[in-house]
Amino acid sequence: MFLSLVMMITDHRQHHLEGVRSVLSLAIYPLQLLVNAPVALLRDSDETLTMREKLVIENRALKRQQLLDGVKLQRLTTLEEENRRLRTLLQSTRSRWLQVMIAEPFALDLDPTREMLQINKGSRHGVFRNQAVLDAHGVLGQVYHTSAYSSTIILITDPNHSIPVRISRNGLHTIALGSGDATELLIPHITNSADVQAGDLLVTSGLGQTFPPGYPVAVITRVIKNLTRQYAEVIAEPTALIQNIQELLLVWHKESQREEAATLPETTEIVNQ
Amino acid sequence: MVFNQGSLVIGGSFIAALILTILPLPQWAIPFRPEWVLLTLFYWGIALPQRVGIFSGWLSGLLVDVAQGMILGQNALLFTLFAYITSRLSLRLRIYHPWRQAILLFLMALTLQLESLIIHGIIDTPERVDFTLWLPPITTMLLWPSVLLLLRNLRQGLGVE
Repeated sequence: MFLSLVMMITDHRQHHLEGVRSVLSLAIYPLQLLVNAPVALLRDSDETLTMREKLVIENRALKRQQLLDGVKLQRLTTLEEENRRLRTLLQSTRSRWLQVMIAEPFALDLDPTREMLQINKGSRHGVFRNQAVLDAHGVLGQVYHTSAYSSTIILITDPNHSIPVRISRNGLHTIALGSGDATELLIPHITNSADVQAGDLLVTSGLGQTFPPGYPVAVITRVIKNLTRQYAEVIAEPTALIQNIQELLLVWHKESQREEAATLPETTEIVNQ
Repeated sequence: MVFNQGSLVIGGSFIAALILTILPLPQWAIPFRPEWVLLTLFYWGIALPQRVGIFSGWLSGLLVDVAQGMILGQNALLFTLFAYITSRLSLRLRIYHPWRQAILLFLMALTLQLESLIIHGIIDTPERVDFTLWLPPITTMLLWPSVLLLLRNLRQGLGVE
């Protein structure tokens, strides 16, 4: 019993027990695979058993989407070129290259009081603690624990998570706190007179070094200005599909400590901004 | 512990309980999830106190912590205590009516819930307290007679001593 108490305290205070945790996680990994197997099977069979007609329709839609995206990308390339030129003029040395790795979530239920997720990539694949996790629509969260072949992600909606953000319309810096509800983020300390409207997009500000700057986090849904209080009540909805996560992206800076992972076949390179 | 057929059965039942603990459920059913590992630990603690005791309690609690991504020791702490109580009082508990045992399990599961509240209150933002706090203890209590029957048949059928 005392051992458990000591463990709890050390686990919370320092991170000495990450090793113990990852070893135990490894012991549990086969169980997790077993639990996940039927879900994975269902997903795979869904892929192989889809009707031809449906595939054709889907293919056509995807081609259209690609065409549209391609056009947008052309504009982006010019902008990026211009951006780089301006940055050289300003002699800014900030590197903009990011590496991404694709991971899939396990179908597992974790502690019901937290908003967490287990994924199928671990430290062997180059995942590290506090690594940023995105999906195609926005920021999902960050890596909380890693073990050899799997890791735990804490989502931005977890009540203990907060993420530094900026309102993309006017550059106002603030923080978005998780609420424990997958569709809500709380934005505290916004004064009643601040220029905040429903529909404003919140993007990562890059402060705190955990998240790369400029990725969408949430859209403000409600601003309740209450003049009897000091601050307005501001609620935002995450742009990432937190309730239905199929695939997620682990991101890191190219020149950071994870360079060796860049050679893995599963990783691809993207340009940020 | 000698590795014979008995250990396989005991270990297997713990693994099954662990799987049930992390099995994905539809959103509405999650608050109802009973404490499977606690049920298993309670049964073996009463039936075979000389084999399943404090250490098994601690280890199984630790595995639940890791599997559910909780702080290490949250379940291990109380599971150790529960394993001690059940193995110590096993002779008395064995002759109780199953519903009286179920009431004890209800209290144990409730203690686990309260411990989780306390821990969350100390180390991070307190969780919301509502009626869902009562659901796992109730389902644990209601499931006990069937778990008892299942594990007893399993034990007697396979002759685990």
